[in-house]
Amino acid sequence: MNETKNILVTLEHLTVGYLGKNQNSVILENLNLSIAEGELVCLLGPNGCGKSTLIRTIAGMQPSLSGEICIKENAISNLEIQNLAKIVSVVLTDTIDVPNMTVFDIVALGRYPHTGWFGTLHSKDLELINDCISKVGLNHLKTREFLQLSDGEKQRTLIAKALVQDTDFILLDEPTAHLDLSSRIEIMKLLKELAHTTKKSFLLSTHELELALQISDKIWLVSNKEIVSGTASELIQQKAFETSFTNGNFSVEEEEGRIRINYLHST
Amino acid sequence: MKNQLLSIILVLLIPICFVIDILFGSVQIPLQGFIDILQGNDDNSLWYNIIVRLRLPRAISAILVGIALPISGLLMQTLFKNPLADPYILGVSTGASLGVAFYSLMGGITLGIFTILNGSLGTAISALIGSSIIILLILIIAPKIKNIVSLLIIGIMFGSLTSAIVNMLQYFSNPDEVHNFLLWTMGSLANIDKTEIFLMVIVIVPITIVTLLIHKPLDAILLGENYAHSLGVNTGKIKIVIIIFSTVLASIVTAFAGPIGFVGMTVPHIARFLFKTNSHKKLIINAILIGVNLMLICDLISQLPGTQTMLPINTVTAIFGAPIVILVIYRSRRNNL
Repeated sequence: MNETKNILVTLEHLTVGYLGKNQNSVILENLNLSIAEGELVCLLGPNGCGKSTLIRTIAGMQPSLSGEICIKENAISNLEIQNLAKIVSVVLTDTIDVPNMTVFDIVALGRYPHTGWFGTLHSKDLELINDCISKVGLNHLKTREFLQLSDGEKQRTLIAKALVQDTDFILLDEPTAHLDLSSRIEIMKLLKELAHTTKKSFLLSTHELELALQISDKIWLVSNKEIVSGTASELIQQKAFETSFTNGNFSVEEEEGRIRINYLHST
Repeated sequence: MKNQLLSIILVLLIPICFVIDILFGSVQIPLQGFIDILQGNDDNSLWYNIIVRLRLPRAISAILVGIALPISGLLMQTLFKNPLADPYILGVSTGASLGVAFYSLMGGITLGIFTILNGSLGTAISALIGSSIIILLILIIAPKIKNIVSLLIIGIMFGSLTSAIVNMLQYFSNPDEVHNFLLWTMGSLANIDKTEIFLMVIVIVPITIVTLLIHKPLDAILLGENYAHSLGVNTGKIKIVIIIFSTVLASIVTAFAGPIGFVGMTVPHIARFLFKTNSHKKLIINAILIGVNLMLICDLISQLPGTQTMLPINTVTAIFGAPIVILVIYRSRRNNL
């Protein structure tokens, strides 16, 4: 990665949270951050710190309290939902419980914003769908019913759906939750590879601290209603993780980015 | 390929069921007699009267019900992502029955204007008014309810509330009036005249066409509201469209034919089961084909051909419908249907 990276996403003075009757509850305040093209950003932080809220806000699923999110120089609050769907796609934690839908059917729904009124898939669409299914390594399961897949395969299907949507920016909310270790690593490697080959930008929230340290281009770490941004080594040196998470339970080793549990700590 | 063949068979079955439904009944009419009537060679016999006055309107009503209820049920199942949702889940039929209860149980006293209307049209209009009130209440509440399951519960509560009022009306009415009201709740395709068929056509046909046109967003909301939103679907708008279409279809049918159970819930399941798909384009078309055939067959059975008696249509649909619902639940434990 050289220095002339184009910035794709910027958050300007963004405050996220929930509108209240008398008082808004602010979750994250005054965020000024950016993501470059082809960059994989991991969003880390303790449970309940607002990772999902931030993802939902960037995806346009809930309004921000103040500030602006710009993607490709479009402020998303001004975008029609149909146009937003052409620049941001998502992989959520929502369960999909629809029988009789194959991997292909689910992935094909990703073409939704690009097809016409009748949703007809042209040869170009079919080509892209097949291409994305093989990119996530599900060629052999293309006609398998979605509900019969393992959790890891389901996640790959949803990633393929996001790829097919052909957006520059893909948001993933805890894509590795509920997966076993090797699937978690597989999904992370896949995302890293996709970010660098497709030049799409990825923002994913995760609890996989060690994996995130190794694989991300940049880390956003939620800490006291704010987000600290930097590369893994920068944040380790700043001892940012120890501040963000409950003080003292663990520390991150500087050399290898490994987590060491602290048994004797002062609180 | 297999699916297309199945659809073609269903299409070909419709005229067959239609003709059989018209020929058989308490009086059996030979095919030649029907053809003569169609060609205009015979226009004043007993057969002519039976076919043109009685059986043709009934068969056409069966077709309209077979189109309307399955679409209505399919829309509700898609909206609630619940395989057991049916056209009446939001309280349309109990709303209609409240209207009819007011009309037939307290008709002369409370709703004086209806007494000038003839019996069946008065019933239909009071059913429409009853269900419209429920639809309006649901539409006022729906946009404010974020959670779709809460909406389901509210619909069911509306149903309980209205049926409690209906029970109360029955309790204070004389037995003859209750008998008439009970006949209405059993459903009947027999008393639907030309004007009423025309009214059903102008409501059902346009809604059916528009539902086919919105198959794309319907597919998307199967993934859940958040995913649908991320694909560019205006989920709030589509939810309201689904509720309006589904409840209007159900209430127009209920107004003229009474509450006909199970068709709306089971036909989409038969379609999913036969065609192994969840694409709305295919489901809507094939649910219509299955629904039309099934209603014609149910109508035929309800005539008990060769006898002088008739079964209420609601009992016939329940007898085939209930086993299918049981099958759905049984399969859902094993196969996530």
